[in-house]
Amino acid sequence: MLKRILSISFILIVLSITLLGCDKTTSKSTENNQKEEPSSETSNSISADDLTGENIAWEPLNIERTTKGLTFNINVGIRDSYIEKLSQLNSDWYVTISDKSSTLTNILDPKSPPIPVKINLDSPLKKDTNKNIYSVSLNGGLIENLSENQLNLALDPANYQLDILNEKQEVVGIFYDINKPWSF
Amino acid sequence: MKKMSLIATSLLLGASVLISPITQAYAEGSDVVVESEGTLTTPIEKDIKSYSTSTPGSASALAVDYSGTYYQMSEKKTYNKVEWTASYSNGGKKDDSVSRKVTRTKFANGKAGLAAESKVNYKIIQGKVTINGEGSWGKSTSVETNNTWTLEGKSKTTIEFGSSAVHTKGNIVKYNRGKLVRKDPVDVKYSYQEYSIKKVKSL
Repeated sequence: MLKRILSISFILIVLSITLLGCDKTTSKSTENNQKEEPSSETSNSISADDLTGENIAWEPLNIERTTKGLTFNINVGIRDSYIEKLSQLNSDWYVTISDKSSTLTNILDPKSPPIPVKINLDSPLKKDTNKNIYSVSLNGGLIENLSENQLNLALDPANYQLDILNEKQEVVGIFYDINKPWSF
Repeated sequence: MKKMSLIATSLLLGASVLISPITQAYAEGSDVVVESEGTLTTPIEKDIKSYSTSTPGSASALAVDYSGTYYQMSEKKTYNKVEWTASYSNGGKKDDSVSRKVTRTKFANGKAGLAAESKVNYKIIQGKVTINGEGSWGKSTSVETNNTWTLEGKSKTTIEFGSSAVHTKGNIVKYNRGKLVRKDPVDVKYSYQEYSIKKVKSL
């Protein structure tokens, strides 16, 4: 009798572990699906919720001195599933570079800041395993007669951030540390 | 039969207790530990920088020769108003990232001459300070953004978030053909952009 009880108990334990394992696999599978499959919902404007390091990657910001000021070049990576979601949006969204934490307040010309640009999702610079890389180029002005130290600050990518703006050109997502690469 | 079901139930309960910590560990998934995170009930004003201003009381050449309203600035300071702080440890070797929806306040308030002329005076003040504010006069607006910071591997990162702001004092002065006809005190604070700083220490 005891033998029978023990064997039934053993079967029940194995069964419960298997079921729990299935549940865990299902969770993982759902998580992957959330990352890889686009949402069927269409939204009017870009959502701040999606603007995370899970969906946006970048290569380090490059800054060049030009006769008119500065040119900012950055390659932005967007996760495949998020590209599909973005392509379903009914309103525009923009990308720009701005100075971080007012380090460059008296260095960048407030009259000619970088003008936010749209990213053409159909024209990636290159394709990665789980994302497309897009090239973004922006121009910004400098105040005249800067010292060498001020110019060095303006040319340091660590002093900038990547902003994502909604259709009203309000900042909804900010990405710091664009002087170093980030990928997922 | 009762005895059998009792034993089976006990064994099942024991097994689920053993399994639950493993499931929890999986759910956490990352090497990042949130050590602290939150909005400050009383924002901190820090990194106060003073700037030289024109001599108080002396009018510009324009004011002497012509009629008009000017801002005689006696004090100009910039500071950072910290509204949110966080601290994270990344015990893993690889860099990670953290994204947080954080709210800060855009503001422009204080005393800017006569109450009825405050809006116009605020424009004059910004011109003299040479830093443009981001909000409308007399209003405080909450702005929410989703911010992403990278967290270097084997490091502890502390982050502060809020607004960069100006504090200026002086007088709004009115001249009529070079003669001072009115002088109203100014004590204004206004924000001009978001502020974020990140400090990293190796673990």
